[in-house]
Amino acid sequence: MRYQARGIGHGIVEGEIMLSPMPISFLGGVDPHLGKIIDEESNIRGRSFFGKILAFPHGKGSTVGSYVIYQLKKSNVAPAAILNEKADAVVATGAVLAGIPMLHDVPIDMLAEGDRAIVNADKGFLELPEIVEKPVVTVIIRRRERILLLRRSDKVGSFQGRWAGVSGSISDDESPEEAAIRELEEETALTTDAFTFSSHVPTIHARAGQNIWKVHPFLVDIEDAEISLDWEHDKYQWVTVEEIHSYRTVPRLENVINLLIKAEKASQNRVCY
Amino acid sequence: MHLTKDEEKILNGEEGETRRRMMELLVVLGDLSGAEKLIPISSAQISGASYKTISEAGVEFLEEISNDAKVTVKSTLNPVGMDLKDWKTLGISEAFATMQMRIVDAYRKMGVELTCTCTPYFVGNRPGKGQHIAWAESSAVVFANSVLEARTNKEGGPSALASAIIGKTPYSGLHLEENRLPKVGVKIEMQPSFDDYSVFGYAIGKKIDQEVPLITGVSPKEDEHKALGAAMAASGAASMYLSRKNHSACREFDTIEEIISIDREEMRETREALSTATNNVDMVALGCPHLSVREMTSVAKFLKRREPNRKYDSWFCLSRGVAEQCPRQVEILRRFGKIACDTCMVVAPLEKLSKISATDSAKAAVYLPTLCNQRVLYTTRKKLLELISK
Repeated sequence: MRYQARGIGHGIVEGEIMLSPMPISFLGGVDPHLGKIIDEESNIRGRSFFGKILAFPHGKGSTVGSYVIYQLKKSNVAPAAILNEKADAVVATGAVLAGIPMLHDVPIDMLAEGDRAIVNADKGFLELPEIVEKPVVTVIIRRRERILLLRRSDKVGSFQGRWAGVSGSISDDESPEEAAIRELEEETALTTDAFTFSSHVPTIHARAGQNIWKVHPFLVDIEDAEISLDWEHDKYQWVTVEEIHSYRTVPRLENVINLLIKAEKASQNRVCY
Repeated sequence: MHLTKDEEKILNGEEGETRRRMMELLVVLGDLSGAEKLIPISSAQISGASYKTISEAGVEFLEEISNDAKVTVKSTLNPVGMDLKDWKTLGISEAFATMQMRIVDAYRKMGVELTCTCTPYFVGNRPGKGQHIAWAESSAVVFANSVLEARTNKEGGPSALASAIIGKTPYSGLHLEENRLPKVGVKIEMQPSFDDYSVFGYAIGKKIDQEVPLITGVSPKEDEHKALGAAMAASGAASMYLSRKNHSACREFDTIEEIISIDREEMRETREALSTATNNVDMVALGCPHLSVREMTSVAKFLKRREPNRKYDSWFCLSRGVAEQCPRQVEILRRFGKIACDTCMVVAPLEKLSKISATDSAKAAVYLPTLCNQRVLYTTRKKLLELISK
C-alpha cells in the first residue's frame, strides 16, 4: 500500500510506526533528553520513540517545541521520521532544523501501531509493504426512513458480531455498481427490480487488521421487498438514523450513512433550483 | 513555491549548509502557508533569546548556526533572561548567566543587534508604512502591523532568524493586502483610560480568533496601542487590528461580517478574570511590553516626591536603549526598585524570586502563571505605583 504525501526535509527511512492519535506538544509533552512522551494524557506516555516513525495528527503548544525536536536529534533520541496529518509550523520547523524526514497529508487513522513503513521525504510518499488495499462496496438499504442493519455472522472473516450494511469485495472484472448489485442479491436476495440507487459518495478508507478497505458507499431505497439473509449475517434490524450510534457497528458506518444522506439531499436541492 | 535562480542555489547548498537549512525552512513554511514566492524584508525581530525559554536545545542550535551564518538585514533581538550588566542585582544565578551569555554571544556573532527588547520600534528598528518585515514577538508584530502599518506575519524564533539570514520571508498572510482588511467590528462604548487598553486587548483577542478587527470609538496614543496590541496577541491569535475614532468607520469596509461591542460590565469581568491573587504580593513588575520614554517620564513624575515602600521587590522593565534616553528618570525609579534592562518579568527566571506578582499588563497576567509559576494581582498602573511608594 502506498500513500502520496507531502515531504518536508530529506531522506528515506524504513522503520516501525509509533502512533499517537492525539496531537503532541513537544515543549512540556516530551522529555528532550530521553526521547519519551511525558504528556499525562498520551496513550504512548512513558515510551521511547527513538528510531521509530512517530505518527500523530499535528503538533500543538509553544513554538519552543521546534528547539525541543532539534535537541532530541542532538541527544540522539529522536524519531527516525515524523508523519503528520496536517503539518504545523512548530513541528515542521523542528523537523527541518533537526534534519528529520517528515511527511504530511498522511491519513493517520489508516496507520496502526507497529506497522512496518518506508518514509520517502524526497519523493513524498509513505509505503506500508505489509498492508494491502482492498476495494469493497458497502450498500445501505433504506425503507421509509429506516436503515437496514445486518449483524455479521461468526462465519465471516472480519468484524464478527458487528452491525453493518451489505458489503463485499469488488472483483477485478466488475465495477463498484455491479458489485453492489451482486452483493445485494447474495446477502439479502434483493434483485434489481426491487431497489433504486438513491446516492453514492466518493470512496472512504477504513483500517481492519492488515487490510485497508477502500469503501465505495451506496444508498438504495426499497419498497416492500422481502429480505432474506445468507450465511454472512445472522440477524437484521430496521433502525432510524438516530438509533445507529447505539449499535456496535463496523468502523465509520454511521459516518458513511450520514454522508450518503447528505449527498442525496444536495443532489435533490440541485434538481429543485 | 516559485524560487529564483539565486534562491535555488542557496537551497542546493551552494552557499553553505546553514544557509541551505535556513532556506529550506523558509520554503517549507512558505509551502505550508500557501505562499507563491519569497519577498525581500527590510528588518527582522528575533525571539527565542532567553535561556529560560529556549534551554540547552536553543543554545546548541544557535551556537551551531552562528559558526557559518550571518544576518543580512537589520536584525534586533527580543528580551533575554537577565539584565546583561546588572544580572547579579536581579538575583540571577551564575549558572543561568553563563548559559544566557552563550546565547547572546551566538546572536552577536551572527550580527544581530543586542537590543534585547520587545519594543524594537523604540530603539532604531522602526519600519515604515508598507515595508515587508519578518518579526517574531507577538506584541511587536501587532504594533508593526497596526501602528506602523508595516507588514509581517507572527514569526517564530527560528523562522525570524532564517528570514534575517536569507533576507526574505514567504509572501503570504499579512504581507498580502487582502488579508489586512477587517472582518469584524468591535465597538468600544466608553471613554477609556490608559489602563483600559490592556483589558480591551485581552477581551478582543479572546473573542475574535485570528481575524483582523476594526476597533471603533477609540483614538489610542502610542503607549496605549502598545498595551492593547500586546494583550490582544496574548489572549488570541490576532496579529493586527485597525482603529478609528468614530463608530461609523465600520461602513468604510464591506469586508466586515459582524460587529460586537465591549461594555463596562465585560471590562469588569475581564479584569477580575486576570487576577489570581488579591494580596500578599511580593513582586511589583512594570514594563510589559517594555516601558517607553514617555511612560518612564510619567512614572518618574508620580514617584518623584514620594518615598519608597520597601515591603515589595519591584522591577521596571525596559530596553537599555530607552534607559539611555532618559537617565534622570532611571535614577528616580532606581530609588523605588530595580531597573531591569534587557529582560522582563516573563522571560527572566522570576519563579526563583517571587510567588505572587502584581502587574498592570494583561499579557504579563497571561504568562506569569504558566511561565513563572506566579499568582497574579492584576491592577492599574497607579495602584502599582502606590504599592511601591508612600
